[in-house]
Amino acid sequence: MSLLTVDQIQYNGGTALTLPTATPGAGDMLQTNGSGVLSWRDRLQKVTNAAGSVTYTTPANIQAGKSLGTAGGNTMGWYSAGGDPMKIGSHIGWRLADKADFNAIITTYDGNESASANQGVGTMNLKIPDSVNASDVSSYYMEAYNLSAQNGNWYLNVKPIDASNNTIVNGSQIAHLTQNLNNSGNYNYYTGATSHIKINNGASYTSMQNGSVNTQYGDFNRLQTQSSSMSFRDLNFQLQHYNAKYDFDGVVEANGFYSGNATNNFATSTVYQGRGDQGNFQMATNYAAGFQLEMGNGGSFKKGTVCLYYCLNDGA
Amino acid sequence: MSILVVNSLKNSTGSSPTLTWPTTDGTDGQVLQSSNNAGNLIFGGAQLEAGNGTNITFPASAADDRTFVTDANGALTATAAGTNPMNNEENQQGARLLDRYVISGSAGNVAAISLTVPTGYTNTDLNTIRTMKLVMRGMQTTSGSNYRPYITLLEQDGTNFFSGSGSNPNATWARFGTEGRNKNNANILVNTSSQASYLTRENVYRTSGSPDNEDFFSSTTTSSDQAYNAAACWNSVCYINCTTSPSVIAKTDYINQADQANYYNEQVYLGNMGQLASGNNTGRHPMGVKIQANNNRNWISGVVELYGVFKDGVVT
Repeated sequence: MSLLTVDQIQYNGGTALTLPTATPGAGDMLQTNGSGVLSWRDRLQKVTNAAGSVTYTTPANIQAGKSLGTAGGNTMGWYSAGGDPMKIGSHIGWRLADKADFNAIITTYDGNESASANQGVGTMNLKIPDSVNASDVSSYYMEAYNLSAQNGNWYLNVKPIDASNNTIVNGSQIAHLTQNLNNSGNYNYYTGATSHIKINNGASYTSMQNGSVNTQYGDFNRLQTQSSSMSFRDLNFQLQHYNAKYDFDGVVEANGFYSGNATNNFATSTVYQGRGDQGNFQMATNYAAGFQLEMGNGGSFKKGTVCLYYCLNDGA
Repeated sequence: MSILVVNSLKNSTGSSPTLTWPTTDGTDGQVLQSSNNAGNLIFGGAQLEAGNGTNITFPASAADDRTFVTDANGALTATAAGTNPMNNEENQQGARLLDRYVISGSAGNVAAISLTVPTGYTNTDLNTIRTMKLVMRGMQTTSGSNYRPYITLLEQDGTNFFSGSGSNPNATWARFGTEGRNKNNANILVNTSSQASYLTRENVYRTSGSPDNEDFFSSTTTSSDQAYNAAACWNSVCYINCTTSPSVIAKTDYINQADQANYYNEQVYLGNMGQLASGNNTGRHPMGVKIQANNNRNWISGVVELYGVFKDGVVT
């Protein structure tokens, strides 16, 4: 075997490279110090892109549980992987539980639009994910936008339900105090007890009046020439619910149009809670896992968006 | 070209290892490294270490779309990238921030603030935005008095959504809804307005005493006038129905000019299909909003945010 003993190797006209004198370990690589002195190294602290035009320097240390990323100046660093912006320590903010997103032609409430027109649903169940225990939910917030229905009058019933879609309310034991304001200058309040949370214009539970919805095209992308069969008389509401097991309570604000005149709009604020005159009774049988929205007075939802958010107890 | 044919190289220093040159080439990107401590050189893959010398070890296998997360010893594992905590288990999305403007400092003293849906989401399918919510907090204008805030619906490019011209110059139908205080003229119905949808029924209170034009986020000056003005900041939440014939429900609290009383009013605006802007008559709906005040007033402080609920499947 030929052996060339030499301290330096130099390409003709190039830089002289000094061979290392140390013994390499398995896998050791030759690296230069930039001054032509070669040495052995088992791992690199610098890597380049394929073109060799950018050099990245590895992080200064290891941070368990973090993912590799880039910092300024082509230096790599460790960063939190993913993370939950809704969480600070053990406190967890609102998360989306369920959503109904539909546009005139639905047969289900899970956000999927059906292919056939003139369909709708009379009830929608919005619930927490199956992986979440209702007992871990401290409160709910539900926001509904632009709910529309078929021709005629209707109102909205909201029923707290368990994970099996059964109502959890014992009889007609949800007490309401509804304050109503409307564009005719009237203001009034109403009290009553039902088995569900009522959303309407308050006094005497009169109905929301609604026009038709364009069931062929929906109301989000309809054409101007189709204006004869559409409605802008929508119902919006915001509901806050404290998820106590036996005596939940909450408040719901709603805007809509009341029957009698298509241009009459109203705003209500309703406080609901366990009835105070029933002694040691239990209004509910379990924690609510969600809510059923029911089209009061019959009929079907045709358009709208409903988002149900939930807030977990700390540590859940 | 000269070529030196040799099997081994060796530094002349006595203990230097004999380096045996590889007999085969490596693959693209491989580096020259030692296969053992006998100085046999081979081509192989490079490995990394942190600045403190701890090895960063890559896993033997990694599925697609994973991120590398390290343990305390620098051993990387390929883990699933964090899912969006804003989505539920059905990968549905709740309300998301579309646009935001903080009125303060150099971003203050502006006459109009336009917030629009980001263009990347809705170039071809407008109904990807189901609904929008405009939140305005701590809003105050420059010095002066007697002003009313109003909003204008926009196209995505910032132009007015309604034409405001034609046989009916009034682009929207405005109906005053409700307010928190019964006035003799509570039964008020404003038939139409051109583009502008006023958020308050009466003028907002603001003292013109010094100091004025205060940025209430950053000012450290104390005076009774400033305190009055800061307290008179108004807040509002507007729900914008993203249909071709949009409706707007505005819920606003403010201190009125006339008697410096706390007011809360809700107003409903119904879009006029016949007054869509030129070229905007086929299946379109508003994609933004502009916030202004009458009487040539500029905004001096406040925060405005536009949220949207996307149609399922549009964003992840």
